[in-house]
Amino acid sequence: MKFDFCTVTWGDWHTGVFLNVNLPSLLAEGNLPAFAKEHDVRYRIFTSTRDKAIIQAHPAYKQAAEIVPFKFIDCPLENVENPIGMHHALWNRSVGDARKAKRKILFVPPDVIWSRDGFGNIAKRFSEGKIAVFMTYVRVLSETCVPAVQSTYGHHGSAVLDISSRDLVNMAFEHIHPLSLAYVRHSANFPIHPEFILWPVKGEGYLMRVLVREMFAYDPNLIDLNRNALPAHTLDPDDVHFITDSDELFALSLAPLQKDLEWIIKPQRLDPIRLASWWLTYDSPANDLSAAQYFHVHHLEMTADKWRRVDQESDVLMSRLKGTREILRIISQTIGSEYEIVRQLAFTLLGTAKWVRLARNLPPSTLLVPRDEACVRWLAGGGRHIVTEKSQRPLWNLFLEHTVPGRLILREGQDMTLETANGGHRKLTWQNRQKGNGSTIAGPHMVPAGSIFLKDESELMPLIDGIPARVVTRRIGPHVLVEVDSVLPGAEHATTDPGGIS
Amino acid sequence: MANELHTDWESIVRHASEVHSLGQFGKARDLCVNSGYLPADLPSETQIQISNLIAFGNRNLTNLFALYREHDCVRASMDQVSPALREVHEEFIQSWDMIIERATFSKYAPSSNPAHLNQFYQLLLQSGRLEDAYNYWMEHLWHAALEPERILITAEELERTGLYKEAAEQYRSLLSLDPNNEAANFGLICTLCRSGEEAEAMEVIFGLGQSLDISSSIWEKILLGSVLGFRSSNATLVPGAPVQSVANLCDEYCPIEHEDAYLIRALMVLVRNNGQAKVDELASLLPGIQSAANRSSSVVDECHLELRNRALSLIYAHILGISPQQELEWRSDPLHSSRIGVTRINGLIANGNANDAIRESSAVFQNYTVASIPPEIILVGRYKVLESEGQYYAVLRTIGDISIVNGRVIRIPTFVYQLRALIPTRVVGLPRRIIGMLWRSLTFGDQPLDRSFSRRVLSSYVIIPLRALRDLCIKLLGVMGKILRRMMGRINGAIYQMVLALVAQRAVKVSPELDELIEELRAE
Repeated sequence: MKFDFCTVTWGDWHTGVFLNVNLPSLLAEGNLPAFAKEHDVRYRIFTSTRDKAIIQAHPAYKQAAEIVPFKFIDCPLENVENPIGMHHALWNRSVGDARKAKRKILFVPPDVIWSRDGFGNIAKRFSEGKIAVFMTYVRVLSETCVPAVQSTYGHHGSAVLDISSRDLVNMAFEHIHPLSLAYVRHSANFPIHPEFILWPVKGEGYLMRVLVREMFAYDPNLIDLNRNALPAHTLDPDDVHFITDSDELFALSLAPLQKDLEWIIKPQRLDPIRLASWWLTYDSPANDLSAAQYFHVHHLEMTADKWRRVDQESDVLMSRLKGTREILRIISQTIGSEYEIVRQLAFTLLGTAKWVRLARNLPPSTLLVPRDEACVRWLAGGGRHIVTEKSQRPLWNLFLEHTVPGRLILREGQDMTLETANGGHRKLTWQNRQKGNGSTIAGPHMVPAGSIFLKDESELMPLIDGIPARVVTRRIGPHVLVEVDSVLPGAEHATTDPGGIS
Repeated sequence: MANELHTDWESIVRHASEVHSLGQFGKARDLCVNSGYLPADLPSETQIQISNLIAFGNRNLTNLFALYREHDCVRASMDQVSPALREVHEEFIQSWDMIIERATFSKYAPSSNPAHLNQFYQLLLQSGRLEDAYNYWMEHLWHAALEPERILITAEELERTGLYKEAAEQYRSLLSLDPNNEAANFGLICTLCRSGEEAEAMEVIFGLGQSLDISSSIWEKILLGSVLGFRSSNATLVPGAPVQSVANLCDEYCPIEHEDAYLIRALMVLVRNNGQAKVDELASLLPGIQSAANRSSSVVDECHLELRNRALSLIYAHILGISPQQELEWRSDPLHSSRIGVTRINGLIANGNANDAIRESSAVFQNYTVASIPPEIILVGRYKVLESEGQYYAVLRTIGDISIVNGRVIRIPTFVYQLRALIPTRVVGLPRRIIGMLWRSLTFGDQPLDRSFSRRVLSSYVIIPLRALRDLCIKLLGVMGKILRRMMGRINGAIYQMVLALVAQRAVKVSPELDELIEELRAE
């Protein structure tokens, strides 16, 4: 297989750490040499003319150039006004180039130290047929970590830094950046950019649950990225590999002490609603795949019981976050002033843990949504008692009773029984619209297409439990909105157990 | 009398010698005093009976069961009286049920003391009434369990709104339930400082210091002390005395060989300087602080990590030169608006105010909705399908980095992004800045100029013509702006057209209906 390794670097600090620790750790026998033995690699460095000269003069580069061919792409990077924008622009360019050349791409950030054997393991995964490999980093203090790594593992006369994963994890714990510590679940300064959450496992390491993971190594011809540089479509779990055990590959991300301080300076606890909202901003179909992984960062053998307990503890939070995110998705996308009260009612349930956990596995569904005037009638006619009940169960049960999971194929005039998300049953019947010469649309119609399956001038009108309904051309994420003329009465249940979405 | 009996009863059980006598139970029930929660209108006989049972349950039964579980000898003796115990349980439970039922119709409430409620829950469990116990827990104890959090949030809200006295009362009531509640202690100290009751605040700090284990609470005390130092410098405290006390506190608990000595010293600098930290001095300590803070990370002690983190953020705030106002604002707002909001909503729901609860929830959570969720691409064969403004676009998968602008699929070349990153934002904002400068230069201070005759003359001959000129310039700029916008629109259109050619728009399939489009693509 053909690979492009891509590094974007300029300026003294980035180029310095790239040459002093990144490239030397990449030179370890199990990294770049192992990768190059298995695949065809060309290493592309996007840098300024000044930094190019510095890189080419460095012994680590000279040694690396004997292993793989390097290509420098000169860029006017001396006075970049928007460095992050420039980084993205150059990454985009490298992706485009790799796509054109039918090569896979692997991003090598300049400010990282790699454990030995990591790249060899990645090479094997691609040989097994994976199209993407994801990994994570732990951020450490560059001021103290770089000298410590160099003095502990550097050898006079050799450019190579050969560090085992566990030693590197130890190094991470000794030089961990305050920002990383702020990601601990119960941190009092939880970061405003919560891309992952850490759970300490006493004496052995950290469990990391990742909400959003940027691309590391992938095939750009098979994976498209969205505006946040995250996968824009669903990925087959069999096609991707997550490096979840630090023994397989571990990397330190170097950062100066004051880097991204504004993320943690304001004291705040992890707030599931705020976090779910942030997660939705960085939405990607691949996020749930990353979030389902348990990334174990450990410097000792893992005691199974200890880690299992923490894994399970993290599951509770993750399911809540996912459910909250899904409800926020529905609320955010239910646009239109005519559904304001339904949105508001959904808001009242946002803090209800059980409800949001139920919502986490809601399949693509048809949502039976009443307009505001219907909700006002319902509230005046006794609905407010449901809202003000101590237990919020009746209210969220009402939402489930207005949700029909799955894909409906409706035939005009043909009665059906609809199963609601909490196991209830509703009857779909048809009534003459009495509109004279209206046209009829024949044949089966797919509701989730989001199109009107019955126009208002159709002769027959659908009724759900006797309540007139009409399909509105609106998709809410994976769901479809069907407008009903009033809040539907309780659905029939075969058993007394309200059930729910598993 | 009751106390004597209580003591006597315990001793009886402990020695397991006279427990066999069921008469003791009766004696205990008859002699115990009223617990004080009963409605006055109950018949006196019932009152006595119930109060005896409550007192019995509350004071003796728990002890009895504790002993029953712990000691074999007691267990052996208790087995003999278990039928009687069960009988008493039942009686007790029925009476309690009755009280609860009556309370719903009268102004008298049953005991709201969580400890009593919990005991009753335990009794239900021990009597084998699991379902009742569960329901009871859900109805009463769940809210009781949430009580501390409710009080804390109320107190914090009171503090935020400046009602320090009321806030302090709330914090104290929480501390009476949970004396070791860190948040309540912290909040009480801050509130006292803000309301000028520095002596009381120091008492709380020192009281806390004495009640906690020194080795484990060193961080807590120092942090509290340093926060007090900050507060005192910015609030109404008399500078000097409390700060000095805090500095002494730091000295006292700062063994130099301690692994966190760097951090402690940095905090002392903060405190000693009455909140105005010497930035250079702190900055020079930072590498050591960080090293110290991380050294024990391999031990992974979450509690310490968190405390260190807080300490570091405190120091960073000063190194970054955040103003006292900002610092105060940030420090005094550790709550999440969503958490406060949920409490408010629950309060409105509890009061039966449905409409307000719904409105409040909307106001609280509206900010968490996301207006622009990144669209998902659907892969169908050799096409990818994107949605934009109600239309679905199918583009060949081989074409990368596409955008949809005004219903047209375009591919922006990567050099455009690179170019954009190179153009200084100063250049982009230059026209706006020029207009702003012009505006400011033409806006004279009108008020002082109009105060004297000579200035009125000046105004007539200089200011008014200049203003007229300014208005003319603005109008001209407005017209020019319109022309410029039109020109830019045309240039943009031309760029789109040019870029469109790169994509081969003919390969794009568009449909308002996803399923139809997918079927069409699959048919290819």
